[in-house]
Amino acid sequence: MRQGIRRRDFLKTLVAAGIIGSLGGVAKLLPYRRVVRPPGALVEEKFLSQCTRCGQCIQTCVTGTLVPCSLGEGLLIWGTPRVDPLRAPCEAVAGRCEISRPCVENCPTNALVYVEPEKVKMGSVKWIKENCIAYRGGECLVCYEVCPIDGAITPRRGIPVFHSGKCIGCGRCVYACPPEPKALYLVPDGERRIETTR
Amino acid sequence: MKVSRRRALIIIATAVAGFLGYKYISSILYPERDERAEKETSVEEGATRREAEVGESKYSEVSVVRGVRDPRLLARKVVEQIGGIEKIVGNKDRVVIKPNVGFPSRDAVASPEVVAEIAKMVIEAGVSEVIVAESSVRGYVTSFCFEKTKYYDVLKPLGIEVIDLKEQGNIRTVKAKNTLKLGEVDVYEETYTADILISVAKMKRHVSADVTLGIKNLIGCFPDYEKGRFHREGLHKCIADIAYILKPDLVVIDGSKAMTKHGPSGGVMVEANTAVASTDPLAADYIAAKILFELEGEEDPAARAKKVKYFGYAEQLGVGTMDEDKIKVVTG
Repeated sequence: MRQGIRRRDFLKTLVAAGIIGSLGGVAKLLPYRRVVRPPGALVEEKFLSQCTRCGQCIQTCVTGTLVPCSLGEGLLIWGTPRVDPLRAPCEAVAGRCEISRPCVENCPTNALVYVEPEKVKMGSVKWIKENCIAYRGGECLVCYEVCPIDGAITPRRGIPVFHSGKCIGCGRCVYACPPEPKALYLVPDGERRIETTR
Repeated sequence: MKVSRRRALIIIATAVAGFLGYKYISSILYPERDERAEKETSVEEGATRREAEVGESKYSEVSVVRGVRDPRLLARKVVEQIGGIEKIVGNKDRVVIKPNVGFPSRDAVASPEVVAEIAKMVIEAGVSEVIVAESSVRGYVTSFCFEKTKYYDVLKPLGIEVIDLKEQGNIRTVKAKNTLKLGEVDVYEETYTADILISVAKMKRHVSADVTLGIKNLIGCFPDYEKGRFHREGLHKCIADIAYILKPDLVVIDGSKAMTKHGPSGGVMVEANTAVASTDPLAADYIAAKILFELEGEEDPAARAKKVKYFGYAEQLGVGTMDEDKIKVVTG
């Protein structure tokens, strides 16, 4: 009869403890899509730790642009809010939500905070020129027409030119883009996120 | 571990059921928006809003007022110069005013004061029902645009109903004949069935359509998905078609502040203190376009105005005339 713990059991426990302990870390390694967050979202890591996936922002969004991320977009971001410009644009700038934002006001954990309209930058727009009516020679500059930001889209010889530095990612152009499939989509590139909860 | 066939099937069935359940729940919580399905529609066969008036007077009268700073006075004067509103509304009882309130910025919209004055004249002429109706550019909420541009503030005290067509409008499917592009098109019933439709436009340039005046303003009588379709099918021909389908009874173009060089928003504002009005939508637009290009310093404004593509198509459809021999400009 050997005394104490067996070497095999000891090693098993060690490995099990290691696996359990690293689960949190491993979860962070799981891939997830970078999505366009509502205006005034904390930096992604803090946002994900503070967002409880309660869905309050989504339920109270007046424009209907906010949707929950699906499981397919990543386990970690499942249920967190993202801007879907195909449903509606975000009205934080030049819209109903300049002064009071239901998504922010109803966030119970301050994962979303209020930022002034001129500081809102949720992302920027990308152009698929092959789908663009103007690029194909048609009469369309709807994106330029509906853009609330001076100089974010400029027409050059009847074709829109996109300036991602000025674009705030409200999604109006994506929403209004007439062709099917659309010539525009929103990405979080260049987004301005909040470091600390004020 | 060996998995029996039965167990494997159970596992697969559970997984599928779970996935479908998730889809179902999310479809209830976050339904896809289908604008078309949100509204009830009725179909109108082979029609335009009103019959083309054959044998109308040989020329079209266009009233032009310049140098009047007060927008109310401007509106009154320009309408009185073509014989007053009574001549137009007659004994009809439902007048719909379609202002250009595409954006939430005052520079980009027809002044509410001009609209209010026209509405007042209509009421003075004994009309029982006057409605101001609009659907803004896609991506903008009409009621928000009304609020920001002071439409509610100016019009509600007068007891005039201001309608956000995107929210409150009903849809009618119109099957039009002899159009250039649009066979079947959905239109807001409120504007289509109006006894008298008055298009109150802003005098401004437009990056896709060249100019936006009394005719292009009518695009707000159509739901958002149709607006997108017009761009897909060829904007200029579609604009001519909608002018043909809706043919407004009166066009008033507010040029108190004209937007030059660029548009429909963010152009160079010029205090033109001008207004143009006519019962011929194309003649009004042509004269207003001439003024607009003149303000921009164009050498030959008439030739430039003739180059607006949808004017040509509209003329082809018989919406009106831009032949200067057939236009009689009335100035104060």
